[in-house]
Amino acid sequence: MTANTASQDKTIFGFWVYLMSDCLVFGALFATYAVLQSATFGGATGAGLFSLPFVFAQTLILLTSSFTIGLALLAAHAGKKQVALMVLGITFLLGLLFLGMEVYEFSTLISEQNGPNQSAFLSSFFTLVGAHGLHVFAGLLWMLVLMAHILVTRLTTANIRRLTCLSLFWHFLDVIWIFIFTFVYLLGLLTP
Amino acid sequence: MGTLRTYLAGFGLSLLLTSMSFFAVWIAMTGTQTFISREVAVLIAVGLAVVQLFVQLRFFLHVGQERHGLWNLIMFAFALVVVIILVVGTLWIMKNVQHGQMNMPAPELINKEEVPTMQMPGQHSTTTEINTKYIYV
Repeated sequence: MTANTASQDKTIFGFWVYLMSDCLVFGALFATYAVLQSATFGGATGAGLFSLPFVFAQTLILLTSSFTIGLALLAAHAGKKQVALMVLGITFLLGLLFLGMEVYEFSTLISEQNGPNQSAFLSSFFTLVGAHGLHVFAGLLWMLVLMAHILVTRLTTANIRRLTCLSLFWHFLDVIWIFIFTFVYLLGLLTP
Repeated sequence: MGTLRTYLAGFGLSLLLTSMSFFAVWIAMTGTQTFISREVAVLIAVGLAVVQLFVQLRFFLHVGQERHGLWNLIMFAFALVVVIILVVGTLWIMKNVQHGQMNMPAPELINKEEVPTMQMPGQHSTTTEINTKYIYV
């Protein structure tokens, strides 16, 4: 048991190291965005493109999903398989809704001739927000696979370890989104 | 590994902080600008985001509270230092570099009278004289 716990901890620590290196990727993308933010090449600025209520709704959805995955982890530790699966399903639907809203936003921007090829500002915007969206997409796939794992092999130690890593990943994406919400959307809307 | 209480606390605080920055920006954008100005709203939004970072690290990610929490905390501190160097350093350098950059007018502004057309290198103009002066000084 102790050896098993030690290897579990190592896995989770290793995953944490991955998350922190992912932080550096997002740090670089944020720095790029901050530099290119004003390079609109005569085109639309953030204030003209972003919608405050829309992005606020996105933020609330992702935040709620971050809370529900915590509940799923608690249920899994308590051995409640059905509850864990149900809450994980809710988290999945919330994540899917978030991603759907982002795809809608991107497709609207592109159809209104504000695609990533229009200006350096829009290139860096699509790269930063798209990188986050890609992470969410990967997280959703992972969640599906994990739900199948739990359905078939029940709440084994390995599955709980996987769920712990996934919950760390999901909370991490929520933290990154708080910064996108603030530095890209809110500050973009406030800059005339 | 948290409890229901820590998750509820994290969720409640995050909701509160997100809503506060949303309303600050909303008032600054729509209001008569006497209540909260845009500059103040920027400060509020950035401040609340930093607070929320620590709320979520504490209540959702449980940094520093696990069995081997110290190592997680060290990794986080290291990543934070590198990200700060990366972002602040980039902004600092690029701000200085922009002074030396040629400002390209947008395509629709080129050939309009108020914007001077660009000089090619080698073409004799006052710009090249200034440039050579800078090179030899």
